Amino acid sequence: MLEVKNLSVGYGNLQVIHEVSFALGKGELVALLGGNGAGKTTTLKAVMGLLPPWGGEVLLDGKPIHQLKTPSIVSLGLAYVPEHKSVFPKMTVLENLELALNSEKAKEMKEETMREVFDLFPRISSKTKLRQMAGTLSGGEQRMLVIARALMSLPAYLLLDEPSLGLAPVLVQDLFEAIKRIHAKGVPIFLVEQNVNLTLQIVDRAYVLEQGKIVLEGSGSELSEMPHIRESYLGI
Amino acid sequence: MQAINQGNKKTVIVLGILTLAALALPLVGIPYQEYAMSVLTFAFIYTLLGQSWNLLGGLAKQFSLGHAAFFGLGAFATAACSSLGVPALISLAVGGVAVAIFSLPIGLICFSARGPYFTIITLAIAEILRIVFLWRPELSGSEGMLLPPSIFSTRIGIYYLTLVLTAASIFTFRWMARSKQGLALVAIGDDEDACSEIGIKVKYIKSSTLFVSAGMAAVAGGCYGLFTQYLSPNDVFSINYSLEAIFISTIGGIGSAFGPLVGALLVSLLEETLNPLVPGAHLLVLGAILIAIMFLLPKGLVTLFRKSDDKQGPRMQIKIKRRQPAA
Amino acid sequence: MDYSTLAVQLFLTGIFLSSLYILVTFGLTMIFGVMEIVNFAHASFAILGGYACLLAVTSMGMDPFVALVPVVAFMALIGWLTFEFFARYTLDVGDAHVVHYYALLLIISNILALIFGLDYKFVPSGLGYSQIEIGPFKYPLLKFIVAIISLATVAGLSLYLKKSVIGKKIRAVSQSKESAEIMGIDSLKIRRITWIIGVSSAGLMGALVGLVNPFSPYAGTTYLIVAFSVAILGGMGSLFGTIVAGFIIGMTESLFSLFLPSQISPVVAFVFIIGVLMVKPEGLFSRA
Repeated sequence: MLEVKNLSVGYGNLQVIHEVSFALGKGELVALLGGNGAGKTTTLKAVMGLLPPWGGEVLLDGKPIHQLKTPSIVSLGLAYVPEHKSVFPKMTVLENLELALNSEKAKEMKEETMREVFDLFPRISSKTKLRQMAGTLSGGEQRMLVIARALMSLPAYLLLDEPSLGLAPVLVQDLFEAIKRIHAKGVPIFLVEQNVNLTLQIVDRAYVLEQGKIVLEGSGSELSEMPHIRESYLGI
Repeated sequence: MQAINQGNKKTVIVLGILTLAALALPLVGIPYQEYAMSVLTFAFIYTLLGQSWNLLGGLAKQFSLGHAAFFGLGAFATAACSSLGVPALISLAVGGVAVAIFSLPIGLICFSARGPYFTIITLAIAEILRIVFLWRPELSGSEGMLLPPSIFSTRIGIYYLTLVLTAASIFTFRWMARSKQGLALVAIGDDEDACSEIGIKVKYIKSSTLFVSAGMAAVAGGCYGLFTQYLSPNDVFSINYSLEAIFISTIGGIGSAFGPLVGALLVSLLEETLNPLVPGAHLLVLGAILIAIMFLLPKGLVTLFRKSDDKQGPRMQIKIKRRQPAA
Repeated sequence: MDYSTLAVQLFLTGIFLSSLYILVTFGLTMIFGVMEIVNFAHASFAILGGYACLLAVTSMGMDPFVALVPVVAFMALIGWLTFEFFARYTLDVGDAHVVHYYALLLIISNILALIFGLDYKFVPSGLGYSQIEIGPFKYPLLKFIVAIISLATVAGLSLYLKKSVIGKKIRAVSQSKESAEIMGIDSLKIRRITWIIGVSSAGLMGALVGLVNPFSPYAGTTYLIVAFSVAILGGMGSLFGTIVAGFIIGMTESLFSLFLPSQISPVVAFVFIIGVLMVKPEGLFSRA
């Protein structure tokens, strides 16, 4: 169970996140929704130790991790997929995948995990693609590679930061399909997204972040019925 | 007077006493007088050199590693004039101006690069000069150049000359730091692109500052030449002087008018004390001190002399914030 | 001397110079790529290697080429020491780190000056002026061997970086630090290894140069600028760029040696770099 309690984060003198709380339980697919500038990426970065928290705590199975450095947090099983391009551009797709094997267990399970990854993301799995330089992949393919890479490390929790951002609609569909299937395998996923419509269709629960504060929470279906959501985020 | 001390009477009095002491030194017969004058003379020469670097590096964060170029050129220019029979003081002035003018095309070359690239170009230029001067006998060859004796080859003469020049350099730095140009330099050091966007004439400001900086370093070199009466390219164009210029300002107090003086005193003291024992050892100690300072007192030794609420010194801080896209 | 002999001479000299320049720049550019540190003390490590080789040959009577092995081992130790007690603390300092490395340059040069004095020395190679015959052409054997060793080292390092796990991690950190961190790559360990490789390869280059040219504690300045010239021309952090730029500068210098006396030939590299920086400050193959 990943719990965030009263987390506050800021940059310089500016506080961006105001006492935010949420939780991700075993096997859940939970989303953090919000528009531009709401503070979603900031929240994820704080959880991963990339930003120092101003207050509050982050607990992993009851143990505090908010004081730890990023490499330690990663070794505890949190895998983070940032919103910007973060493939290693001058290395092949295969090399990118193999670099994610950061534990003995992951190395042991390499063949099996790869098969699952190929199954989830056929676009980047052909023999030619595997030998292609990651920097030459299209935006959508790079996005898939980064998620695939996170999976190679056998994460206990998967944190995705706006995976659909900037993708063509057909790719977005593929992407959400893949996320559903990863969820079906039992990996707990914390999904930060702007695409409220598709997200609410696949999640167990979601939180809505506005101006650094959680204003709503509930199950996917509950939220999609709420007038506020329908007006502000679904354009209905 | 207020501009000098921000209204702090105690500082004025202390400085006044020190200045009087410095002026009186050659006249009273105290023990170790010659040693003290030697240390101070070199300290003053180094102050000029460090202060010249400080203008660009301390204010605008343009870290030059080639100030030996101006130092050496100034030394040779002064020597050349002097050998032609021109009186020493005029030779010094001519040297300073000539090198300052020469710095204009150099600036054009150097300022096309930024950050570490700027540093490397300046280093390359100093090295080119060193190699060329070594190579061409018309310039100096490996034999070096001699200077005729003058009033400044006497201990007392050079002492007072460099003392006056040092005071002048401190005033110049302070004046420049507080002028519009100084503010612009600080802004350029923070974010050069933002400056050009709001209409600051970046090229002009950098070039004019380099003009003064080169002139000052050249005068330092000229004094060095007048005093030691012998110049060798391997000496005056060596990276050591460029490094010392940086260290003096950094150890003493980067961006502060008195910083280079403090740093130069330390360097000169080390040099005069350690050199007779083990030549070159002072540079070693200097390096070690520098590393210690960088970790403990990043703004330099001058911070020890400032009141705790005035750690920044008279330098004003201008922050130009670029508008950040929403996170 | 007919033109074909001249051309071959120039070509071989170009290869010789290039091999050394590439070797010394390799470490510099790796260190920049992985640690974002501009190592102004790089050439002093080279000179240190030269003196280490000198000691090994003159005091311990080793054959100079055999001595290269303990020299590299020694430089690796120096690398480890300087990382643990110095370099690792400069990683978070930002742009100001250049001053730290100037200080390191000063310290190393002057320790060497104190121990060995300022006169020029070189490492006797025992090969004198013997020549090697390549077909109908002759070339100094010493330079030939030095070039081979340099090129072999560069090839070996390139292979290591391409194929080994650590090599890939080094390249990964160099390409995207944040991604490497969130993937659990131990960046401190990787930086340490990179630094040690950088320092050792610089030391090796210095030892090799010492066999061919006389050197003194301050002679590093010239090689420092050459290394920067190659690194910037090829793009700081780009290993492929270093190789290409190294050949460009080495060949150009060889060509100009026809017209210029040898003392002034380093100026070729310097003028080159000034030209490049004025036109394209990021270099040929920068990673931006």
